[in-house]
Amino acid sequence: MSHGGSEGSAEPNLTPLLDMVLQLVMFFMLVCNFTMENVNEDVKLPLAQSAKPADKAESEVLYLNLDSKGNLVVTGREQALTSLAEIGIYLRQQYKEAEEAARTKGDKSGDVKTVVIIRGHKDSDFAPVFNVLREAKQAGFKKWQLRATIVRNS
Amino acid sequence: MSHRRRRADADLEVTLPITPMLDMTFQLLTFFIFTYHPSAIEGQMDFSLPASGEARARTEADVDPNKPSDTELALKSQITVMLKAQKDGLNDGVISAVVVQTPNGESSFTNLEGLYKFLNDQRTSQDITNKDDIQIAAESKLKYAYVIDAMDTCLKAGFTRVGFAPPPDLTTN
Repeated sequence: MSHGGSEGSAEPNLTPLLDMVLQLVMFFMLVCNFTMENVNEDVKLPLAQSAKPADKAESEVLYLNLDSKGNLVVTGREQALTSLAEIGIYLRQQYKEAEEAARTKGDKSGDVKTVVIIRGHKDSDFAPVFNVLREAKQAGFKKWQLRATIVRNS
Repeated sequence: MSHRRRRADADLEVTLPITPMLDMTFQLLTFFIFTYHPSAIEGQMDFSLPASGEARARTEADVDPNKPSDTELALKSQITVMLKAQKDGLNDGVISAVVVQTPNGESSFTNLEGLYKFLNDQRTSQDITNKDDIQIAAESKLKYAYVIDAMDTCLKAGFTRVGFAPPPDLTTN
C-alpha cells in the first residue's frame, strides 16, 4: 500500500486572510484616537446636543483643562494652577509665546490667531471657568471655544 | 536559442512570501486593538464674552475712565437668562430658578424645558428684534454642566450667538 498523498504539498491560500487582516488594520488606523498631549482625559465634559463637531482646521490652539475643583491643569506641571494670579501669569506667558511664534512666521504685527479651547469638568463651578476666560481675554486672546460631549437626539 | 529561454521563463514561478507579511500585519492589528479605546465625540460651542471694561468695577470708585474699552460690542442681546444656584447643602450647584429678562419684563421658570418653550415664543415675538443674540448670567456657584445645559437650550431655541455675562453674585457684592 502506497502513501501517494504524502508527496503532494497542501499549502493554504493565505492571500484572502492577508487581505482581511489588512482591512482590519486600516479600520483601526482610521478610528484610532491617539491621546492628545494637551487633552486631559480626567476632565469629564458636560453634555450638549447642539455642540458642533470640533473644527480640526484650527492649527493654533491653546487647551485649558479645568478639573472638577476649577483648577487649571497644565501638561508638564505636577501641580494644577489654583490661584487667579498663577493662571494670569501662565496665560500672559502663553500669549507672548504665541506672539513670538506669529512674528517668526513672518507676521510683523504679531497678530495672535490662537483659539483658546476651554475643557471644563462638568462638576466644576461656573466661577472658575468664567475667571479663566476673563484672564485669557485680559492676556490678549480673542478667539474662544467651549468643549462638550456631543449627544445625539435619540 | 530564444525559444529555449522563453520556455524557461514560462516555467519559472514567482511566489511572494505571504507568511512574514501576515505576521507583521497581525502585529500591527494587535497594536491597534490594544491602543483603541473609543472615546466620546468632543464638540465645540462658540460663544462671546462681555467687553473688557464692562462689569468689572465693583464700586464707583473702582471705575477707571482711562482704561480703554473694546470697540466691538460683544453683548447686544435683548434677552438675558439668569441662572440661580441652589445653596441648601444638599443640591448645591443645581439650578434653583431660571429668570429671563426681556424688554417686556421678567419671567421665571423652574427648569430648562420651560425656558426652551419661552425662548421659542420670544423668537417669533415682534418685540424682539435681535433674534440671534442671547446672554447668560449664571451665578458663580452653579455647576458648569448646568450652564452648558442652558447654553444648549438657547442654541436649540434658535439663538445663534450666546454670550456670557459675569456672575451677578460676584459683580454686585
